Amino acid sequence: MAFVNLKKKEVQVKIVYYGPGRGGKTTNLEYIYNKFNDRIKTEMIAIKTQGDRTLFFDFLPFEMGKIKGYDVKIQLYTVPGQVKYNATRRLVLRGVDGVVFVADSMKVRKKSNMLSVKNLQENLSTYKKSIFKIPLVFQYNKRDLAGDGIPLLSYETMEKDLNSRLKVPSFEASALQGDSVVKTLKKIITLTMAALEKEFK
Amino acid sequence: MAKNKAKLTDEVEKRLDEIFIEGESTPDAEKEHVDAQASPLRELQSVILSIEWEISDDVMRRFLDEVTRLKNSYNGDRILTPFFKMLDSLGRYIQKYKAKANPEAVNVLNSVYAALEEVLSSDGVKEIEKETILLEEVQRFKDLKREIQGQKGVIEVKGKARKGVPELVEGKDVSIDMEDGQQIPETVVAALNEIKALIQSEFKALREEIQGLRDDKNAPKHKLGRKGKK
Repeated sequence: MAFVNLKKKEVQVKIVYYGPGRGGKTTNLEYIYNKFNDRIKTEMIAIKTQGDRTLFFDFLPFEMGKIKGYDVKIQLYTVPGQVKYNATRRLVLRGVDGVVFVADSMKVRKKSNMLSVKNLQENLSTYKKSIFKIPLVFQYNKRDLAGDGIPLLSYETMEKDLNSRLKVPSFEASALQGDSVVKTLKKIITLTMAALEKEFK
Repeated sequence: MAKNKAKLTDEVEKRLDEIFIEGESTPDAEKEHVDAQASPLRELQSVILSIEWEISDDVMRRFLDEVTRLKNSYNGDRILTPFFKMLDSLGRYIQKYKAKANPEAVNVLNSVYAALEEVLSSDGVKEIEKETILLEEVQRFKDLKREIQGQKGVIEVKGKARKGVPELVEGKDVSIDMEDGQQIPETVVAALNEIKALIQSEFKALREEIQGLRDDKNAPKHKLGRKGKK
């Protein structure tokens, strides 16, 4: 749940980029950081280690300014996608307010996408959160690879595989080229803020 | 309620639009694009981006082929050749270990590439500055190499410790070669030397204590009694 400081009139919103390894989660954050650094005036922090004993994630905080009298601070996190880092993934999900699921559009990654959604559901449930209730956006990444002749899953197939029951907003994207990175971010922030407002009322 | 919700959403969207205005490419971004198109490193850059996506045999083969091609075309350039050698070495390591490779390896590869690009694309840069850039990357490369060797060494030594360590206790100098001819990394040797020095100093202290006890035994009785009260 978002951290709200009534005294300081401050709200911290935690958004986690989730998905299979090498799907483009960090690239999303890097694009945002590189493209808008002059406006968001922040530092991107990457914490990496080989084992699973310490944290391993990217972190990009930025301020949105005052909304309804509250200073809104957004914190973007990525989780390590590799299967072996599940303990870290679960830890990063603690206190999450919204999730962007970055799916890999490559055909060979069909199964990893589906397993990763299942893993998200399981890890959320450890915090008594439901994948059906949490603000969630799908991003079908790496669409640019079609131009390189790499076989990709169609949008319809990805929707069927991942989003047929959840029915949340989804975007075709290329994080590397910046396509739909901001659209995805805007959507998840808007959904999350609306959900938080509802929760606090 | 619905009106309030719409209000908040509108406010959030408006603020997000203010922060994240797209479609304006910054001068830097444009420059980078033009430079990349004209650069002799264009193909290498493209393969390195592929490595960011996925470390596959195909991508790594393309990477190593491109490094070899560049190494041949800049053959004899004393600044550029070490860059290509480092890239080649890093590429072979990542190709061999893929996802199990030290995560820092890809970072060092990116760093070496960025430095190479800087050296190649800057006509006005003096030779000495190029050397400084190169030396920084060589240091980074060496640090990584040491780290990898350290990790490998610890694992290897664990499996063979019972054969290797007794030699140390017996006080032989440690220019350590394992049975299969592999060398223990310097960091492990240094740690073992420290342990050796510690054991030696402990022995020395024990010997002194024993000597002290012997002296006490031979000393007058009242002295022994005083010691016993301690």
